[in-house]
Amino acid sequence: MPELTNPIVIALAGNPNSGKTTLFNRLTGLNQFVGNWPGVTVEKKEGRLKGGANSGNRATVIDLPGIYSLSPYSPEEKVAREYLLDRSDGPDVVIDVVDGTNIERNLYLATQLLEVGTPLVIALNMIDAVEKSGDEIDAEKLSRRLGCPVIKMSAIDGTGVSEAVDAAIDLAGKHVSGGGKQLRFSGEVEQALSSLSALLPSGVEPKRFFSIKLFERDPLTAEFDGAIRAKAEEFITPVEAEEKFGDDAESIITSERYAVVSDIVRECVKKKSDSRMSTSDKIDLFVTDRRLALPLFAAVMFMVYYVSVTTVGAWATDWANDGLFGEGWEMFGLSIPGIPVIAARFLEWAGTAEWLNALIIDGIIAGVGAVLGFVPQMLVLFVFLAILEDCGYMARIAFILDRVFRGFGLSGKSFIPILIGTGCGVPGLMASRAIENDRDRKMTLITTTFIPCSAKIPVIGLISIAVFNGTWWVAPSAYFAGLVAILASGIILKKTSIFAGDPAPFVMELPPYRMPTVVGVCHGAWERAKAFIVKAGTIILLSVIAVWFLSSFGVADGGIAMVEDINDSILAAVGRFVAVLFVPLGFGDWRAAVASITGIIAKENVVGTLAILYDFSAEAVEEGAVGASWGGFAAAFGPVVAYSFLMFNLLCSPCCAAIGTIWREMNNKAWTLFALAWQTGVAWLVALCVYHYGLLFTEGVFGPGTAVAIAVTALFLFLLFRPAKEVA
Amino acid sequence: MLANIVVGALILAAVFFAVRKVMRSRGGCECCGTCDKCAKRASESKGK
Repeated sequence: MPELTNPIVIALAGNPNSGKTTLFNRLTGLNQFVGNWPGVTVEKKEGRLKGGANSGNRATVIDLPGIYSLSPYSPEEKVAREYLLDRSDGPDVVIDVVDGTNIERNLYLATQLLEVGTPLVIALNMIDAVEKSGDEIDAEKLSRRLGCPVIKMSAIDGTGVSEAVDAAIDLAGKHVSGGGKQLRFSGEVEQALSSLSALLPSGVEPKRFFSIKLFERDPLTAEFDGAIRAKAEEFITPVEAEEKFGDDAESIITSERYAVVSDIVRECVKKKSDSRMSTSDKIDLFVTDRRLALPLFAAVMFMVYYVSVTTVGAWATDWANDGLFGEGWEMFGLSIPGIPVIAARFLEWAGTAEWLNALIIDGIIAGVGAVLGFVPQMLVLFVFLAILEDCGYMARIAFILDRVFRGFGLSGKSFIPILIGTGCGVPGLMASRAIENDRDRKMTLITTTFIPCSAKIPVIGLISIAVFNGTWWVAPSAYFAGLVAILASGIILKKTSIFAGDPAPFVMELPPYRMPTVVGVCHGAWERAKAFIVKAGTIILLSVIAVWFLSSFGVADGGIAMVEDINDSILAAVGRFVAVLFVPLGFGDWRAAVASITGIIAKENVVGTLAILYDFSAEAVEEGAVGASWGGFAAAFGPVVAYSFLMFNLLCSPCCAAIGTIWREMNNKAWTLFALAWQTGVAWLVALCVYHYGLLFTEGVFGPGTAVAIAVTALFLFLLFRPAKEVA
Repeated sequence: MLANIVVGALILAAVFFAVRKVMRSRGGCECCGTCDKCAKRASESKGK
């Protein structure tokens, strides 16, 4: 590795989904979220070059959001351009990560990066896929044409990564100015550009870049003096009027660039065959087929939730709940006690105080253990999601749903945040930055958290297993209920004057299908599960301790003391006030109300709180039978009430971290409050309908609540099907 | 008595570390590393 005296900054630029974050993780040793679809990175991220300090090279690596060009349309594209053009705090060298399987489109950006003037290295990524397809790219010839180093690389397996970094460090060390060769356009355009270059105010650098931007009438040049812009028109309009071009200035530059790129590709790339359909195309004929795509998507997601929550995941969760965090389990004829049993024996032996024993066993172990008991289900779900993501199917889901969304005036762009939100709502909400239309962006922020995130899986698992005995439809219905809530909210909001308007166009590149790697899938699943386990040891631990104290102490003998009956506790007193709101939903019991409220701190708390308030560990120790741990809870909640409770907790206001993100992304208190009111309002009304229709169909009960549920349904249908507002 | 003090101290230590972690992870987010702040912090701790 070449040595440097001063620390340098290496920026990773490139098209969306070209592998920048994979390269970033490899260079820095970090574990940034990598997704096999465009738009995963929405902020620039910073990391230190791994091993750089040992070799004397202190380098910072910056991962930029993916961009197609330096004419930005969305906020995250602006982030990338502003950083690349920053002369004082910008990068010392840029590595342009080029997707070798899609070289023509990727080189379009490279031609612009050359004009910026920062030293440039082209990292020809996914070279393994290029070679597999039989295509050949002549890197040396490409390097000569572009005037900068071109390194063949595969960020996934590490091929060529160190060579690319060495080339970048080498280039930065030479302090060369100018990224490479300036590519030449046709005569008339070049002539105009040279005249425009002479008009630029002194100190505006790089000249080539800004003269092109002036030609394109880019907003970046709006701050130039009016006289300069007026004079510039004298050079631009004659070119636009030329019959040969017959287009506006911006389109002329686009065509000129593609002409240059096509010429380079013709010279440097040997395609094996253009006419033959790739395997990805063949699969897509089936997967994205107009008639088959939606049923296939429904079947895939049904299987994912059914298998993770109800079958494989449920067996493992049963063991975790009833064995590990219960009475114990049998293995090879040996009886292995569960954690509460071991803890109870230890505390008895140590002779600790009764209240301390209760805090540890009925509070901490019951609460945290109940949440951790659902880790196996989550692991199975994470493995499925990682496989779907790695193989390229997730990106197809966005494409498939765009058709559905578009039919209702919504943009498919909103689905990328929803896909990411299946893991955690926070990055999902942040991904909404890729939506340039402010109306659509706000609407996405309001609806994204309807999709069940991983923290809601324990709630789904609990209701599905403990109350419905693993009935096949319960867990998948939670996912589809979230999806329907998003779609229905979108349609209803879009028909109001605030959100009315044509959906933003959604252009998305579908990554080629690839076989998921065992390491990649395990790593992806473990990273998500680890975050969940860490959360159980932090925010959940603190919450369950607080819940235990509040549920164990109450006002007695004129002061605060431990109470025998949980119904005399402080939590019960406070919970009864809140519970009134939930009476129409069927779970007016203060314990269920408190569980729903603690869910706002973190959704896993719903399960942790129920475990403490329904005496999870005591049930486990005394009963000992499979599924017995949640016996008290299941007895208190019938199927109708439980499903109403599930719907409310799935759809209502998200956790604090997600609320904070909505606030930050909306940058407006009123809009944040509207989002929370909408989510909670929808959840309350859905739960109300579920409860009263449930009672009507299962027990034949028709009461005032049923009439309200019918009125709510009628209002919902009216809002859904009323004509849309005309946009002026 | 001693057992109470030891077990109590262990619980307090767990609470202390949990609060510290929550405060550092920007209000209880899962530290997915998506934001620049988390990425920078993780990078700095690995660089040491």
